[in-house]
Amino acid sequence: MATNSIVRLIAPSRSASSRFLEPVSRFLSSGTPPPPQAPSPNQDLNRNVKPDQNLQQNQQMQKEEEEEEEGEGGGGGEFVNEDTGEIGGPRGPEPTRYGDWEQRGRCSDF
Amino acid sequence: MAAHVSAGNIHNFYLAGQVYRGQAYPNFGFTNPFKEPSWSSGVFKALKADRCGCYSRGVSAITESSKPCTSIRAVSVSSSTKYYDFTVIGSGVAGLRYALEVAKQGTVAVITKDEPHESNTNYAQGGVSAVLCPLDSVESHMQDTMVAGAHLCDEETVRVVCTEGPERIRELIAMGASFDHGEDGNLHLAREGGHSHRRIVHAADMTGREIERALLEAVLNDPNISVFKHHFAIDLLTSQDCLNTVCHGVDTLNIKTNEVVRFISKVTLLASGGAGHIYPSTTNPLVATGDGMAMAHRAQAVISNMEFVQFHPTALADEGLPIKPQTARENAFLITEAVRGDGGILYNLGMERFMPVYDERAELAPRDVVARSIDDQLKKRNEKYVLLDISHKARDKILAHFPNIASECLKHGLDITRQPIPVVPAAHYMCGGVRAGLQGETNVLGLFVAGEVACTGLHGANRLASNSLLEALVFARRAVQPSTELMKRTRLDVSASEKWTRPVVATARLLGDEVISKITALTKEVRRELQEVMWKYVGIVRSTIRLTTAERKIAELEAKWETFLFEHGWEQTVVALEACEMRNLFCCAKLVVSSALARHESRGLHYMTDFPFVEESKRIPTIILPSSPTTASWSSRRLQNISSSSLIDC
Repeated sequence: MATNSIVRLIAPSRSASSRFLEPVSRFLSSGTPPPPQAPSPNQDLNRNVKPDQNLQQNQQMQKEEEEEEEGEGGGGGEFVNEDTGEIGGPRGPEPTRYGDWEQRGRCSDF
Repeated sequence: MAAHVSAGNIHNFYLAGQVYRGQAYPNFGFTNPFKEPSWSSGVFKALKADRCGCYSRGVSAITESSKPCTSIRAVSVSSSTKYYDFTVIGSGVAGLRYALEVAKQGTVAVITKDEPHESNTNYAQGGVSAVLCPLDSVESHMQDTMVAGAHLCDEETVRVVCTEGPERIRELIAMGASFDHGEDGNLHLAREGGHSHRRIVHAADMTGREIERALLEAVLNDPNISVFKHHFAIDLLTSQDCLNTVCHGVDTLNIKTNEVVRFISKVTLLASGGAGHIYPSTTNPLVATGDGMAMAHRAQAVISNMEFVQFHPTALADEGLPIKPQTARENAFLITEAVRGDGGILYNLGMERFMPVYDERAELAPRDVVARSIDDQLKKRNEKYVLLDISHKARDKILAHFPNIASECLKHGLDITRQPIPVVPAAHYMCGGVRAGLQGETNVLGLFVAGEVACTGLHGANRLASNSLLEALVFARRAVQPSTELMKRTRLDVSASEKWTRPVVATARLLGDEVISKITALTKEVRRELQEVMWKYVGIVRSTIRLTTAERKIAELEAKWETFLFEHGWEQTVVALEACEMRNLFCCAKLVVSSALARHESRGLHYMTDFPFVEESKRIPTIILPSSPTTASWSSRRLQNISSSSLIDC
């Protein structure tokens, strides 16, 4: 895993870049306003949350999670994002689609 | 320039205890006063001769010599004093990166107050920004950084960081850090808010943890590096050398054994991170009590831009949950912007939708506008949280998009598909800190800084997403060469280690069981009160009246706390973990308030209702000079005094 990315550092291109145009008068504000459209829903690999066992609405998700592979990153057999080609990355919508870095609702960076 | 240490204004510059705003130069951004190490510049030497008529060393356990000096073998004269070429305070990305490099030249002690991985780095989940795509450019990254920083950034610092970032990432990868990549083998780069290009390198959603893991593994395998965990840094050891303050190491408290351990070193790197716990709600782990900023201030280092505290607008407010968590949550749970992006609406507790009053974009306004609006509502209505309601959206979509929020809330009795989510802003990052030059040097000889504790000029008035790990990496690396050069020409006087009085651990034997327990209880309560004052009066929306109120209340609170301690047998040199953290929190809180009072404009993260606009003439950093040593409070004075027999008249 450590050896694979040194030589070529060209990122795959994405069409999402047009969403992040800065408004003109943002001298006083530092954030980018979120785009109006909502992304399509997708099942996410649960790394962080242990869902409440009693919740019916979470059982569906839980079954699917158990079928998925867990991993800390690196190695084969990982989730490959079909849209981005990213290996071992987050499932579901692009974490930065609204500017911050989110996973399943929790923001971890902004 | 305000902060220049140059002949002619050195006397004006060195006004003890003052918060210095300085004059503006037209069309001039921030210039770095530490382009050359000020202690070695010819100008400075001439000044010293003028000022004190001598060129002696004063008290010095360290003498500079023209011959290269030998490296210290890690020898302990006694277990309570240790000698190293380099001491690193903090085990986050900055500290560890630096340690690995300087370990090639000499012995290194890494001091950390908890487990080594317990740092803000570990919780930095998003990514590291760097120009790694051929369609991207250093200029673009610079531009994004400067815009985010409301043009208060130091351009040269920004250029250096954006230029050197990619190389630092490559080194991390070579050290074994594992970042996400595409099927073609290239790094997968994400694009975060404020960035014009895809440039965020990440490891799933735990980049900080992955970097920390890789660095820690290398550190633990390095025979030249000794890690001292559960060692709390108390105060830096310094001496005065005519106009110079020189750092000789640091006193620490071994929390496990309750013993003081003194580290004497030729070079010290402060990489102790942030100070989120001056506020009641913060994303920072418990260790982030501003220890480094406080120690540096007490050691006569210049502090800068402390008013720029970054908050996240919508952290889960435990107070609003039907079932409160049994223990206080250590790190705030941040609710993503995606909730608002997907249609979430903000209400105050009167169920009024307030965002349209503040901005026509309502909930889709930029994050800092939302943060200000929420803060304003909370202060006006004297309430503890507001509500973010997504329950009007389809249940299955809510659960699909935000399962983390759903389950966390449900654990505490709240169903987000039916009820609004209680949210409150949380402190996240300190853009200001110990003023650093381009090599991480400070105005204290032998003291370098890197990471969140430093104010390098990169972030300006607001940090761009994912630039903090980058800053830490770049500056940790840049501090290596000057550190090594200084180390090589420094000779250590081992016998000088007792020139400073030793801290004394507060024990039941010293003070009595009952006193210890009363002090512990009071300290806990005082911490909570300080946090409340900071949130209420030094939050996101500020005003001169609120800030001066804060100043007064903090002074009263500090006096009340110190009086209690000292009336119950505490003395100047007595130490305990909670009390030392408390004095650091007081120190940082006061630095934030003073800085905020000094900036009579609104810029970036600092917003003042009585100065609501950006003022071009005020586009300069806020500088806090060292306090006069006669200042009364315990939080402002170093514990250790130099024994009078060691003083030489200057």
